[in-house]
Amino acid sequence: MTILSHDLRGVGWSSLSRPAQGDPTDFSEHSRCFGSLDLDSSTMQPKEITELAERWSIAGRGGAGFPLARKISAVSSASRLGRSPIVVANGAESEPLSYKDRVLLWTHPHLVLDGLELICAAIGARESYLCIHEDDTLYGYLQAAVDRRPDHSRVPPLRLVEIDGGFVSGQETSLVSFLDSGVGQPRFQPPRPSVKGVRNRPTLISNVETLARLAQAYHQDRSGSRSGTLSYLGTFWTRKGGVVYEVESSHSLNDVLALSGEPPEVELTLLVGGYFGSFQRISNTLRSTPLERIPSTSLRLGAGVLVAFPSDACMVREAMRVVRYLGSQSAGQCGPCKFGLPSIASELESIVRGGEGSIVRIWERTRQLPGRGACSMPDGFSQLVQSVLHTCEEELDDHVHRGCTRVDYGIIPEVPRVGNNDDDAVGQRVRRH
Amino acid sequence: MSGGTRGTSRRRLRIQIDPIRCDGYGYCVELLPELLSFDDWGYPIVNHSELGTADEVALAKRVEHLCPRLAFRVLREAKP
Repeated sequence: MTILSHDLRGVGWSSLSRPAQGDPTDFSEHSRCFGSLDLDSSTMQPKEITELAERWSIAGRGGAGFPLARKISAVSSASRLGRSPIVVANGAESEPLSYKDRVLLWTHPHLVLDGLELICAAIGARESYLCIHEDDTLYGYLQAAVDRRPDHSRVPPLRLVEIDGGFVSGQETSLVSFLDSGVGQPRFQPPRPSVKGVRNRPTLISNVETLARLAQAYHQDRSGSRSGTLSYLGTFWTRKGGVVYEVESSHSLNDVLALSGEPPEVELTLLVGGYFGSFQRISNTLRSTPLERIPSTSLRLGAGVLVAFPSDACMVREAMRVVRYLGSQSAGQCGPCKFGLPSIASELESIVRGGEGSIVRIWERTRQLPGRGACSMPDGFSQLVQSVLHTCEEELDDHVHRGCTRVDYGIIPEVPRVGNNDDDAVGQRVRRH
Repeated sequence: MSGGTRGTSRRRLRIQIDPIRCDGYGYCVELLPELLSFDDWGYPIVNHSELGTADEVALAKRVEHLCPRLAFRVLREAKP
């Protein structure tokens, strides 16, 4: 069991959002640890990289878990028509409780850039982007890392881009629209970005951790191990705060829970997968099962956000803050999302406050949402709200009929509602170099 | 894995609504009530996207022309 980046490079981490010991922007240090990319001696083919991704079972780490090899194939076949492809590294972590991508960029910028370069070389991309949320410190830091990479001219021009906006701004088509127009709004698909993305060119968009894992597989492959499983990162929250963890698939949830240093609760409620995940009561058996043997129908970790609540916590009030935030984050483009999300959020809020909200109406309305938007916002929202109704049935009933005596620990923060539904959504800025 | 559609190569038509374009004018639901219904906010829900009878196809094509937002489209099914 490792906490925080150990498997990536062996640096110790004590808190989020600060650089690791030493200087991770130092490229020579990085290549001493991992080795360097050998892109000159052999011209890399798409097939080599898809085989590598398949052998190491690399799937998207942004939440959806889509196999990287299939993404690469899609983009490289779309670019066979003569349109030069573009690669976008997605470090625009939009989930309020997720920190793993930022931690990764702070600790291992060169691993992410290695992965980006590998894919560019394999599919013949001559342009690439690394997108992060507005953060001047991280921006300067990454720029320094980019500048310290050798053979700068050989690498396709990389642009660091800061994007602004709320929950849906890190979504794939939002990034495409941001890079095209400076306004990040989801777009209707098809066409998929792999066929028509940035400036209508085939575009491969990949989460930064996915890219780092690809680079990790590449380096390990060259040092002799031909396949294996890679660990993954996530963010774990308890009432004590948050920590970015790294687990292997042979680990269980109990290993992650042990990070809190508290004996695990007998009856444990977790928010699994963050704002796009679900509230679940986790059985003892499930908790001790290795993650690789848990079917994805029982547990979908998504981008790895896990929140553990004490048994006397008022889940309803915690959940309401998730729902209220999501309800404010519709981009306002698709009717069912624009009107449905806030209406369901306020219905739930009214129940929590002991008002006249109706649980039946929430059920009915959440059932109308899946598949109704250009992006998966209505689907994710619907699933999350339904999980609240399932998991917190008893507590909701208390709120309606008796009043709740449980404790509101405030583990889910009241997130300031920036972005999409506000008037300033258009005032997003782009900075390119 | 690749599309083994031989034998059933009848051209299927289906409905697609672009949710960003759609502003809930509702012509589609009025004319194709067997396939579509309104949600609580007045937007169309596609309950069945495949067009079966010739009547349905004719009506759907009419809706395609009527939709003021050009959100409603009749597509040839790409995949089974």
